[in-house]
Amino acid sequence: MTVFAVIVLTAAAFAFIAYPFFKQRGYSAVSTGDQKSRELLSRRDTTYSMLKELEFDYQSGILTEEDYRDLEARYKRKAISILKDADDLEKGSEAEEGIEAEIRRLRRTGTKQAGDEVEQAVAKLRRVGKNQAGDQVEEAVSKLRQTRGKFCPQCGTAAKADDRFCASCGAKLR
Amino acid sequence: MADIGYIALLLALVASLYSATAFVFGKRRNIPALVDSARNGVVAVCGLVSIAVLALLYAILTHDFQIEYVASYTARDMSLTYLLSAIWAGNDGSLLFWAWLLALFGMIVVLQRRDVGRELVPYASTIVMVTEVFFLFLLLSVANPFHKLSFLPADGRGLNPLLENPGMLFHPPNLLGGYVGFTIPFAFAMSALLTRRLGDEWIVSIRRWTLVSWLLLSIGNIIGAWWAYVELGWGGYWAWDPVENASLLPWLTGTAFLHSIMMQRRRGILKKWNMVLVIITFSLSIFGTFLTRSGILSSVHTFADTTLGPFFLVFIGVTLFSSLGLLYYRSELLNSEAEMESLVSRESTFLMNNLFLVGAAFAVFLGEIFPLISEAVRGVKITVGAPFYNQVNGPIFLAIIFLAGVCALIGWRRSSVSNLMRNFLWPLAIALVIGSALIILGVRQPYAVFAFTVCAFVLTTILYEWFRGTRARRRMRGDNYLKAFFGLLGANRPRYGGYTVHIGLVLIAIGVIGSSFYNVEKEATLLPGESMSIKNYTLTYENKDTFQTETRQVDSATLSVFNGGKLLGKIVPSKYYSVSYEQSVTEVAIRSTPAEDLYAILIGWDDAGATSFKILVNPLVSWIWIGGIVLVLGGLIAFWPERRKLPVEIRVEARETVGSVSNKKSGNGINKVRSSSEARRG
Repeated sequence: MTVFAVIVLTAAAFAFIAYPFFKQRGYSAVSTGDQKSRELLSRRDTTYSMLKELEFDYQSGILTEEDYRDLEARYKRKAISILKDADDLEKGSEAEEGIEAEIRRLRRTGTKQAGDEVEQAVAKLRRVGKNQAGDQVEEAVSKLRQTRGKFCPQCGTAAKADDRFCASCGAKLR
Repeated sequence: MADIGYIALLLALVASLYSATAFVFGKRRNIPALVDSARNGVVAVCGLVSIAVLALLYAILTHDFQIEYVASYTARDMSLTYLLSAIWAGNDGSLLFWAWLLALFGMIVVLQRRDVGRELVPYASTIVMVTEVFFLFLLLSVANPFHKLSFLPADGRGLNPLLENPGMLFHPPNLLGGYVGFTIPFAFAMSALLTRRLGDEWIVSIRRWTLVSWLLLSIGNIIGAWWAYVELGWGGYWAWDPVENASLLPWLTGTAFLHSIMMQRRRGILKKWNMVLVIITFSLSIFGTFLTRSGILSSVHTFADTTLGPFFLVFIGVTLFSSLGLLYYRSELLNSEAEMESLVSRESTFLMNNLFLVGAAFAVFLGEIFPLISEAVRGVKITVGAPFYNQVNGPIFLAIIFLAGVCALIGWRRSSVSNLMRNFLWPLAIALVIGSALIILGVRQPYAVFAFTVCAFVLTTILYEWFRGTRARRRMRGDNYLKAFFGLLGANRPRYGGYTVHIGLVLIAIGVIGSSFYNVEKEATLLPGESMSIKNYTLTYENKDTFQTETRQVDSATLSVFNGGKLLGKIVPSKYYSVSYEQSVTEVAIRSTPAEDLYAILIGWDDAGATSFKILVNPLVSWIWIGGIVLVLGGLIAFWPERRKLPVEIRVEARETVGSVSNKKSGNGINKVRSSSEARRG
């Protein structure tokens, strides 16, 4: 009985530990591509909670107005730089994904108007040499961006393609 | 079953060795499958050690006295709850429990979904698994809970009668949980050093681990104090016993660590200091275990004759040497991002609090090892008694409590002095009024008056801060006071949880001050019908009763308690002789009110019927237990998880914040912050 239980236990433990070597890739403890953005977001959260706390300390009278203004300005500067970094990072990867998705979608549906344009851009990219590819991609990206909608240069809020002013901060859109 | 338990431990040892190595290789060579397999290894270790624990439990519940551990700590007549607690009653079992908790925590670490610090998990798990290997090695060699006797005893020895108290069910597991818990912050810190990821990540990953370990340690200590008070029969709750000190040490440094990681997170300072603190805290946790099991000190807590001392000493030595060495190697990466700007700031109160806490820990440590040093140097073991600890730590603790009050009303970075005056005016005035009232009411000991005034000051600062917070919130959002108050607690749980803990501490301090300055004790030998008086109580000895239970021979004496001629009730102190343990145990009787405890101990009697009692009046002791409950509640508030945000929400929030922050470059700040935060909630 004991021998049997021990054999089962050993086999089960061994199988469980060896299992990841035989399974298709799923969730993994290592690969985390967006580690940087997570870190930025965490730093943003900290700064943001500091700002909230500052405001609160001021409201409840722990900080004088003068101290509050001074500290708030500093934390805002910090927050802005973190948020800009985070947003750039995110926007970058989002745009890439967006383009890929758009291309796939357009290819599937085969819509005449935009389809030709994209096909052309893709074909062009295929044709040209590798060193030139960067510029071409840029071009394709900016073209696609125009059709997809745009972002406010001031605050980064997404806007519709035909908006002339940002709905969030009111800045003029190009 | 016992064999299965032993083999499970053996397999766990192999699995943890494998996991420890596989994590390192998998991470270095970047082989995800290897890391995943190491991760499964951690889960397997937890499963296997759980099987060992179940095997031991099975042996205990089925009274398998062939196993030495079961025969030494249990008996047939024990109730189910105490049978369960036998798991940690003895040396070997408590080590198994330790290994099990560590495996459990390790498993939680690898399975936890986390936004930050995932890169740290593999190395941190390696550290956890190496520690696990150490404990499994002990369990398989010198502290085997499954060791078999060559004969089969008819019954076991049973639990030491002193341990038969509900405290036994909670005090040891909480303390052990606290000790084990500090392994996780340590492991993450080491992982951060190894991977050079020394930013916010590790601090963020371990905040709640530190908090939960600290909380378990606090609960363990408070229950321990209560247990000593009601069971040990010397009228006190804390004796500066070496083992009590051993659990206080990591609590003190852990408290310092909890505070200073806030500074690192907010300001990017004290990075090296935090590393040192976490290393010390972990080492002290192990040191506590070393003390109880090495046989170098004697106390109610120590386990008789074990041979574990050298192993623990080597483990602590290796830990300290390698972790401090690693810290030295990486010290350049740990420079501060900012400087302290002003002496008048919340930071500086945190810094002072750190210094005092570590100072107190150092004083306790010194008193702790002084007997060993004196024995080594002069050949005489000089024990350091309670007066030393009281004199050194009393003022330090008072200063720490004072700082807890100051920090509530002082801003981050810097505060102007005039503002400070304005903030402190009311609390200070109220505290002084309370102080004078105490003098008028007859509290005359200068130190006690001063200490009570400090407590009153701290309590009012915190309540004042809450009041102003509530008022501000009411003004900002138009809620009623009650809603605003709970909204306040919910809006910044770590902060208000922390303040609640501070209130709990102040209540405990009030209890400690009251009971150490104003306790009265009196011994008397009475014949039935005679009375004695102590303070405003009169006690009349009614009669003595002797009876026999299955395992005990009990003698109890009944005393009627009068206060100014009015009968308050009866108290029955007793003494019993445990047949199986051949030990006589005192059961005290306590009559407790918020103002004071009447504490009666039955000392002895002679054939003529003259019975000796020791009666104590301990003022304000109940405040300690109430404070303890408040402290635990506060800890839970701080620990309670925030609602997990969905990625979409985070993205939206980021956008909005970018928007609102860049807006404010041109506009007036406050209103916009408010509107944007309201928009987010809406």
